[in-house]
Amino acid sequence: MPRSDYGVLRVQRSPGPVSNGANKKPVTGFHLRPRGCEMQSAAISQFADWIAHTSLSGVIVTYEWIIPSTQSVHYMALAVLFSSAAIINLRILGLISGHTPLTRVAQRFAPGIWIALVVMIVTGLVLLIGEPARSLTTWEFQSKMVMLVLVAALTVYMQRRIADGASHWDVAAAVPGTARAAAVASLVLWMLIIVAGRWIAYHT
Amino acid sequence: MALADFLQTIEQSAFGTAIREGALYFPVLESLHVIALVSVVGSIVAVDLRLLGLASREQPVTRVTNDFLPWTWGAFIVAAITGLMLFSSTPIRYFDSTLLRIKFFFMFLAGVNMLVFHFVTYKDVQRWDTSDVIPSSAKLAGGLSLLLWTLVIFFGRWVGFTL
Repeated sequence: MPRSDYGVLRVQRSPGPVSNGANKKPVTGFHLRPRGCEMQSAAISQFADWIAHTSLSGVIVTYEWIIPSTQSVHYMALAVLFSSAAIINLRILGLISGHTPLTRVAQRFAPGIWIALVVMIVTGLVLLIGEPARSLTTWEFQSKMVMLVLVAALTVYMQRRIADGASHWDVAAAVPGTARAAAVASLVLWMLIIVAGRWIAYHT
Repeated sequence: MALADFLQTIEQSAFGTAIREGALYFPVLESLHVIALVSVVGSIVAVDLRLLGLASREQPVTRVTNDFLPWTWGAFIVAAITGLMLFSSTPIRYFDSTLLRIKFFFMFLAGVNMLVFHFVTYKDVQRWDTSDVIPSSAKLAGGLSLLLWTLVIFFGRWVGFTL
């Protein structure tokens, strides 16, 4: 199993942008996929290729410290985001901070989720611009983004429910089953997002 | 010499070989390691921010530590076990890695900081548990902890780019 992180610093670039003419030929590798999927994949690859040839992308991969440093900031923000989300979800399940009302736990930790998410999107964009093909075109990155949208929507919904006077949720026994299910789903989604993120490094 | 032999034995063991050569063990262990370490650092950050007086001010310090530190330790055990398993895949190279040594140096300093806080500063916590005035020794412990754990993450992440 190659440690693919190492490859990050030795990015292979295609020789030039894909010409429009090249796309008119049938793409043999995709012949089993439906036509729409084929066109979509080609469009994403082309977009990734375009990003890879921007000067910003060139700068990001020229300096070897940029990608590891950016990943470190990405991880630091992840620590804040994941722990904030986990504390709120575990409080809904009655497993943490039992002495503190859920509304107060949410007030304390919800901002951490959104502030850290902004940092993660910014650092994530730097990583994406540096190595667009490695992320945009892989199923690992694509499923990570789908799960991110799902969990963000779920988090907004749950925070609204908590703020809308779900004060009876403060007693763990009174927490409705749907809230418990949502808390478990949120925890699982965040963990799967981390797994998918790590999996991007091993894409072959 | 004995240490080199020991590392060699781990590397050649069925366990080390499986993690090194299996297609899934390493990424799975790494994912678990990441989930555990972000839980460790995130829960510590929550305590550090309280010590610095930047968050959870309406909560007593002891409540914040009692609520979160058990989770920190649970996650730390998972991070340590998965970390050792990752280490056993190529122990000689990891042992020789300067970046990994720097990471452990900062983890050691974070541990010393935690011990000093626990056995000295925290002794009279009842006096400032709910007070608006946090002793500067507690603020220093919180600030140092934030800095050291950030450095642990930086060097830990960097190891992955060199091995």
